[in-house]
Amino acid sequence: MTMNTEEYNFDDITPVPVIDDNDVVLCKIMYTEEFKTVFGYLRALLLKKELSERALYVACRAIELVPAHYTVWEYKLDIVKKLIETENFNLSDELKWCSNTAINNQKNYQIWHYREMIIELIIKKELDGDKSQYDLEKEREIVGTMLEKDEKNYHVWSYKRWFVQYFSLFNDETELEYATKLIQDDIRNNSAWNFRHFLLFGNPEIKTISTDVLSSEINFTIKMIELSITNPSSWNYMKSLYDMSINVNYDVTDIEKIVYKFSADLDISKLDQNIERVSIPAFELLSTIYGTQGLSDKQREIFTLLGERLDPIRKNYWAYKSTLL
Amino acid sequence: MDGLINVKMHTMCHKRFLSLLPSKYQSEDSNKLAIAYFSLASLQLLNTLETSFTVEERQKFIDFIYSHLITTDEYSGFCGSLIYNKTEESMELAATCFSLQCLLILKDNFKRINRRKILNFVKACQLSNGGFTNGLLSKYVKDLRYVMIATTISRILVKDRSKVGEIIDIPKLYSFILQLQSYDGGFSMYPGDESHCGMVFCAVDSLFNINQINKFNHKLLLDFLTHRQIDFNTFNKPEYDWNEYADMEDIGGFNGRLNKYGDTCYVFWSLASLKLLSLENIVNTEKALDFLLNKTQNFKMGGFNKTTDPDEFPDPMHSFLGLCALSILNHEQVSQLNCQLVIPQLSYEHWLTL
Repeated sequence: MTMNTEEYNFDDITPVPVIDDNDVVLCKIMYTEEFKTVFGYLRALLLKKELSERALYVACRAIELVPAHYTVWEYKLDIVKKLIETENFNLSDELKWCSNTAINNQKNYQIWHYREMIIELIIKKELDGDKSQYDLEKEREIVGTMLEKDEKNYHVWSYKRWFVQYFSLFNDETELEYATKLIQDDIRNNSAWNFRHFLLFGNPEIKTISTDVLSSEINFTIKMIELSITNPSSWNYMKSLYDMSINVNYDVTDIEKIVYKFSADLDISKLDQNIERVSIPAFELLSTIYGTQGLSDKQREIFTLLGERLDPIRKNYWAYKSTLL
Repeated sequence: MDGLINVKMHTMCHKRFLSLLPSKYQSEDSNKLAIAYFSLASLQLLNTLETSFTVEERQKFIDFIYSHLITTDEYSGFCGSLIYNKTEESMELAATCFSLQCLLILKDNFKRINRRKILNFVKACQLSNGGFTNGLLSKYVKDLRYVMIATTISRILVKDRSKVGEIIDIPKLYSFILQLQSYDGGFSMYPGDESHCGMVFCAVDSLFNINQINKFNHKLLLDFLTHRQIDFNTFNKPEYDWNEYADMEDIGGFNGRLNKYGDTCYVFWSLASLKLLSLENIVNTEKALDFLLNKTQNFKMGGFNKTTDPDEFPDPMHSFLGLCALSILNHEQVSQLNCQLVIPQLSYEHWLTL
């Protein structure tokens, strides 16, 4: 199989054969001819350390075949760095390649780290190091497209987190609206809840918690809980707001009210008749509240209730929690 | 259901993974040594490694693994596949870890290993923030997985746990790991990312390997781990009715993140983390067994599927981690697993003699 195309010629390169099949005695993969050709040439070019357009072409082909190949990404970046110095090479084409590759293979997560590097290069080489000149919409768009396909794609969310951090978008209105929209689309999207938490409380440079933010988040989360009282994602978020409030001595009355509404306010002997008002995570947070209040007997009662009736699959865990009291 | 597994069928499944793989596995080429590790370890857990392959065959496996070893003046490490050039930049921590684990399972004597140079390589991969990259040139891969891999290699090569500090900057690594703990008690890949049960095991195992596991409060962590076990009952019925990621078949199984499907591997990541904390019994072990044996085990091909989706095929990782989970759950047909190095106890005992 030839590597030559209309654009690139490799006649001067002697490919380094991939493997002698007889050497492989474990997990022998039946490589296609394409695979053997591409990697034969990649190996030869890597040994030559050739930084050229045709080498870039081979690197791209190799990445399509084996996204987890761990030296080809560095090689590709080296080629790109060389090409922008010497020729009329456009970094935005590289970004387009990143987007297409990501959309065509959602499991290719290496692409997102590579995209970060390309953005850093663009800012350095084309925008005089001024991040504020960068078009943020382009990034919001690709992340949006990816999350429409899979709203919990871990690596895309990780990239979104990098984006917020790199461009200092903590508390940013557009980002916050996006988080709110995704939560409203699917209140059980824990990735969106986590992103919201990061936006509002994740700035490593700000050590104090704003009570304004706490207050508005408590209100927001109460509304979300009212919409779906058994959803663990919103309750986990509320638990975090509660812990932060206690830490900064912020008023927890509103949190307590919503917790009591779906736990302590109910007649324990008639929970079966009140199922639409029972919330297991509310009882769990109730036990935390009792803990804060120093009411260990009441805490023990809740653990027993959880283990015996509400959440029997975690019976041993709730019993274990009782032993810690 | 008598709760027994068909050992012969699971053995056949792993023997298949170890022999010839179709071209769709090409994209996994760099993870070939991981596949070898998953399946060799599985056969050992099933007590069929030595009946599956002759002494000569196993020696050939050892030689094959050593054919991935690259040694320079300063460093030594393995590469992930023979498609890599034998140059310094092709060494990676992941392949090194899987190779060492394979060698221990195959009862190699490590005579061909240069411990000092491999440890130099590990040391060179630690970053100024305490974390680890996968290789000397690697700019991209630097998440928590490589921390677990680096600490595992160090443990395998440095018997005396108190001396691991000569290779790894432990205080820096400790704070690197702790900053990854999220508000819900789990750990994430990077600070601010979502908690993920696989990352939790990486964190717990790393802390165990560097002897720091008891330094922090486990309360929130235990909450995260135990809540990975899935249940739908009358008191959380809306979660079944309204969550598009809900499946009755998942009851007893574990998910990796909140509101996601159950998955074979998360039974292991959760249980193994709890086992390292000596608390594996605080989950519902009976229901976990039911999930693995009756819902994700592949009855036609052996091995385990990832989820309860009947259209899936078993893959090497889930087939291995399903057995590992059964081992922690004391299944009578699966031998004991050492959760610290994630190798069969028998291989761990071999390690002790080296």
